[in-house]
Amino acid sequence: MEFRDDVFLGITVVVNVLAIYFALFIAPAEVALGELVRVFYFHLPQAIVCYLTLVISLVSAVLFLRTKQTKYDAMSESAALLGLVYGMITLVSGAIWANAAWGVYWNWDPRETTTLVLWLAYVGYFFLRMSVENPERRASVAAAYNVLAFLTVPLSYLSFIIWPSLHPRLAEGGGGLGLTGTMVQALLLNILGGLLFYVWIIRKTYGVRLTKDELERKLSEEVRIAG
Amino acid sequence: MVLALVWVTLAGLSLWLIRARSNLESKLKD
Repeated sequence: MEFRDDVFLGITVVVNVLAIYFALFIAPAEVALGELVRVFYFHLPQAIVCYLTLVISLVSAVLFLRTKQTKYDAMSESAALLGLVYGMITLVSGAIWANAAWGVYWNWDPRETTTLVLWLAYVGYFFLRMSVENPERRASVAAAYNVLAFLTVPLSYLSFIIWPSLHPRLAEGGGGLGLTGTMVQALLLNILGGLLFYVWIIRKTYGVRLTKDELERKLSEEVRIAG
Repeated sequence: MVLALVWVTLAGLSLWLIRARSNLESKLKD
């Protein structure tokens, strides 16, 4: 298992180094955005992973509500935690880009605002978890809240369709980014690298959470025997 | 800058997870 994990991590590192090389040195500058387009090769994959991990968190929460198996609660929490991390990276990298392109870090664009709402909704998820002491009740309440919090994901994704927004679109035409040839290759490689790394890190996060559960079980068993 | 933000954050999280796992496992063995 350890060896397989190391091989997987090795492949992930190689793909990501190649992806960074493509993004920085092979892909040309874009006509309208110039060199600034390179930010997208790193911003977009993290945003995709953020949405993906929140979908996994939702599916696991629903599975927990149906089966009451704690492994689904563990997966749901692990995926939501990574949603916070990837969400933070997406927000900050987007703000850096916005400052370079629009002259301000934050201008309450619908995409920025709804993604911030999404992030805060999942911060609330962790505050909620911390506020409930009983583990079974905590898992049930958190899973129910997770289903509600997920509503912010389609809201963030569709925000620039629902409201007028300055956020660039990938599709050509209608103000979209015209990515061609090596630019598409750079973007796809970065998406692949981001997804591979996510697979590695969600396994690690889930593993830590399971080990923590096992330790808590062991400690409460010892307390019960001593009492 | 964005590249550094992405990979420094993810590398930091990875190291934290690896340390947390080994700390928990050593507590389990005690």
